[in-house]
Amino acid sequence: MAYVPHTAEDIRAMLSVIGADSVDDLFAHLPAAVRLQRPLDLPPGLSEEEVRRYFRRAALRNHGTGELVCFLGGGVYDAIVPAACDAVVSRSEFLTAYTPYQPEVSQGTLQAIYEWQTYICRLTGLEVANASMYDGATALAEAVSVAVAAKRKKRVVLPGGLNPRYRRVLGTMLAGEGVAIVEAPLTAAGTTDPAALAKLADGSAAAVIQNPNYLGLVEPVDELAAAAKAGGAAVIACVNPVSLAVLKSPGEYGAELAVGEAQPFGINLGWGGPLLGFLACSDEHKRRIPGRVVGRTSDSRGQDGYVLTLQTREQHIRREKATSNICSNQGLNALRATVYLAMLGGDGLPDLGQANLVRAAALRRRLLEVRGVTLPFPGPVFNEFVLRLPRPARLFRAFARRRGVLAGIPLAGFAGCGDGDLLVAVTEKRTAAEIEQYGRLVADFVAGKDA
Amino acid sequence: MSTPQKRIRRWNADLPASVFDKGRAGRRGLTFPRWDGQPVTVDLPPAARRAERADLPSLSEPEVLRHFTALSNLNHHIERGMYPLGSCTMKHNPRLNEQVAAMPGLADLHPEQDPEDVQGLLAALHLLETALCEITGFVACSLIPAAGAQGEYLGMLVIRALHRSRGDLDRTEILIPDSAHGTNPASVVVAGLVPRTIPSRADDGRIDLAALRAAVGPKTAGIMITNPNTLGLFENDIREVSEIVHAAGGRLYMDGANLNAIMGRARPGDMGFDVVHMNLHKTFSTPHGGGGPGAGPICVSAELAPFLPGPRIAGSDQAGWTLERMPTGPDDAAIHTWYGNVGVCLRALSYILRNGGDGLARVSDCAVLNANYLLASLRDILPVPHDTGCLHEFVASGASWKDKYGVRTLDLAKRLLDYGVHAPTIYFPLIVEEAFMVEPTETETRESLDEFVAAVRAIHREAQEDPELLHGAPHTTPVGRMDEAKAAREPDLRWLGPCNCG
Repeated sequence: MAYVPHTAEDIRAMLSVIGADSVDDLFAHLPAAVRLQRPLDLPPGLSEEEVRRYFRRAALRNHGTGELVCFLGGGVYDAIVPAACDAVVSRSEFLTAYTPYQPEVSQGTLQAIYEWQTYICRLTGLEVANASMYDGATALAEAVSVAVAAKRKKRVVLPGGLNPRYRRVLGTMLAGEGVAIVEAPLTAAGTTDPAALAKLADGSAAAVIQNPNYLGLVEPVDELAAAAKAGGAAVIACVNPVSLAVLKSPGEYGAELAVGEAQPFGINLGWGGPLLGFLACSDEHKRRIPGRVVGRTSDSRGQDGYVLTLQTREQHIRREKATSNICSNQGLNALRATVYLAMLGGDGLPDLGQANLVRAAALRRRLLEVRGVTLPFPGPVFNEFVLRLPRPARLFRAFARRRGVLAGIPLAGFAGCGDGDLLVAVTEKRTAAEIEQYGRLVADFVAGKDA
Repeated sequence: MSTPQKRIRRWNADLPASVFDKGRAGRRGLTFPRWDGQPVTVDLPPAARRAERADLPSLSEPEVLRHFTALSNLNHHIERGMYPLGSCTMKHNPRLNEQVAAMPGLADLHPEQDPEDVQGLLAALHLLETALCEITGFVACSLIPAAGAQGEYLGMLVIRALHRSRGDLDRTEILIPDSAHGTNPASVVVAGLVPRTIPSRADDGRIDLAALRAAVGPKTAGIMITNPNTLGLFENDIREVSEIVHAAGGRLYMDGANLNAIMGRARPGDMGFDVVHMNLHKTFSTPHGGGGPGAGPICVSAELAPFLPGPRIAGSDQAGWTLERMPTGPDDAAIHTWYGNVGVCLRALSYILRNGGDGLARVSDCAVLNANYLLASLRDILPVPHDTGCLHEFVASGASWKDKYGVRTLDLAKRLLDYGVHAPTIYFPLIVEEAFMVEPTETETRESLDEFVAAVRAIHREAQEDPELLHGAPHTTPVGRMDEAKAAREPDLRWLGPCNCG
């Protein structure tokens, strides 16, 4: 049997210690009416090689970003995964350990989480971060809950440029708490209207600023934050953490909470999961945030060490008074990101930001050379932007796919976008040749060569 | 049976400095492809830029690997020794699963790709859904919940959607036995329902039918039951429970945290449940990773199937696989940005294929055999208050050690760390005094179980001869008992020192 070590002799000897005649006897107390009277209708077990072959064949029927050139973004990105990340997370010491509830034999996991928290604090410019969340969307929903509890107001302002997938998750998760959602619309420039946000902030617990927003545009964060604060609402920043290499940090514009999706820090796309949400906050909220938090303290021998702390609001203590049911986190992915950031370092960080900025600028410049397409929102971007095609974007997407390129996400129906609008993303991986290829594909499409 | 000599295991691990206290300006572990195109001007106004650079340590790759390897040496893990945490199912994590999830063509798929690009993946995930339905006796499955608690939450949304579809808006109460995991009531609350605690039987933690009959009514939306329960005992009256709750108009949710006990023996769908969640990181061998990622799929009855959220995988290998939105809801429920922890699901499918139906039944058989063997080997010194036949785990009581030797279960647990065994779950469930909850799992050999017994017996002797030794335990671990009060009182949650100053 695959992973069960028992020999017939083991079983016989163990049953004799137990005082049972057979393994069946150990289940004899289950009521007959609920016992399964037949074997499970599943295929017989396979050898390791047969299982590997099954998945190899399944993988061959897929076409991933290792094979295609990826300009898809929308929250997760085709980013570089350093070999060191794979090496560290495949160590059994991290891979097969449980949540570090016994700190004496879990200092490795605990110190790594503390270092992750520190990295997130330094990137976001805030004072506290937790051990991680399932993904960016659930992190945002939890951040709203924190603000609702702190401000005792049951309304939140979401920007019109919020990732629509996050919007759906918030719609689900906030409904249970009875939190009302209002929306601050986008201006013609594609960024949030500060005046509209100011009006809605009054009477709301929080206003969310997504920067860059779903259209890839850098928001006027100072104005928006000021508008939110003037209305008494907490600012919740929802950010691509890679952009924090160059963009203003949430702490710098006075956000009380910052969340986002840290997948680009060394985590495989994996068809969107497992991902890595992060949640950071200013000091005043440290006893309200959900999930696990690691603190540094001392031990009985006078040494410094780490321990899970601030757990009093967790559900195993609060039970029905809990405001979050978060239990596990994304520990191993947080470790991946921590290794990534250690590999990147203080000198690599601005480089990473610049690499994204340069490629986005190069692709935009190349697309402006194509007659018949426009960039409807000319404002500054980080690594993602909207391309407006003269014909339906889904047709261009299909055409580009036939040429081995994943062209982007059609935006029809989002925030006033039309059929021709496509969300296009680059990362530090994209080469000048790939960007040129993209430009030619667009030119061919506009010229009707896609038939 | 040979008598194993369980020895104290010494750690050979120094405490490494913080990564923020390492590195030198100018070092790099990660570099990026040089931009090989024409120079471009980046249009990013100063107001958009961060004023202050994030202060991060600069390290080379060898330093990074040494740092994290040094950290890893401080961890207990399954491949170091037994990890008998009750209710956590710390079984062997097959390396094949890791290989599978990392395969090109599986690990590198963007979630915004068309279904045509992920046909093999959709086929695999559909196969997993089918297998989980067969194991649990249900007809439809959602793989989206990213954790057990999210499975509970989605299960509550599905039950709520059923009642609402019938205009039954007053059904808002979910009954929860007082022995349940804390996530159960929390998940009910975040789903906008109202948890109502019902007492379980004081002697064995099973459902009290009289209390249940008194509690159900027109407000009952459902009940959440962990089966086997947190004492490792099967709910023998589960069919009666199902009849009572269904007769009152409610539905039954099973917390499948303990599914490892009953695969191939009994199925939630046949017991009268309507929905179950499974923890793939427990029963189906995916790694815990120091706290995640896990996955908590749910399976449901035909009645509830229309209320699972989309997108649902539909089709066949011949016709092709598609992702379909669900017409009936629950509204437009979404609990994850995309499709949940897909990589974890692939690992679980690898495990199911490797074992097959007969293998999974053997998994549960041997998990129950191992638990009963430990119970039989230890009950003379660690009595089990509800000693009526355990399944995959049992809850012993250290109350007599406390009375006789002044040694608490906490001390026993901490001393086990010196013997190279991870401590079992302690002080849960609350209905057992000085609870000591042991789940060995099926992947432990008879020899390692004997070593565990020898360690507990050795500590039992130490408790009589030198209780102080236990009060101060652990002694050989990299750190001693931590000052948790100080950690909470004076929270130190991030490194404050500047980087690259050395």
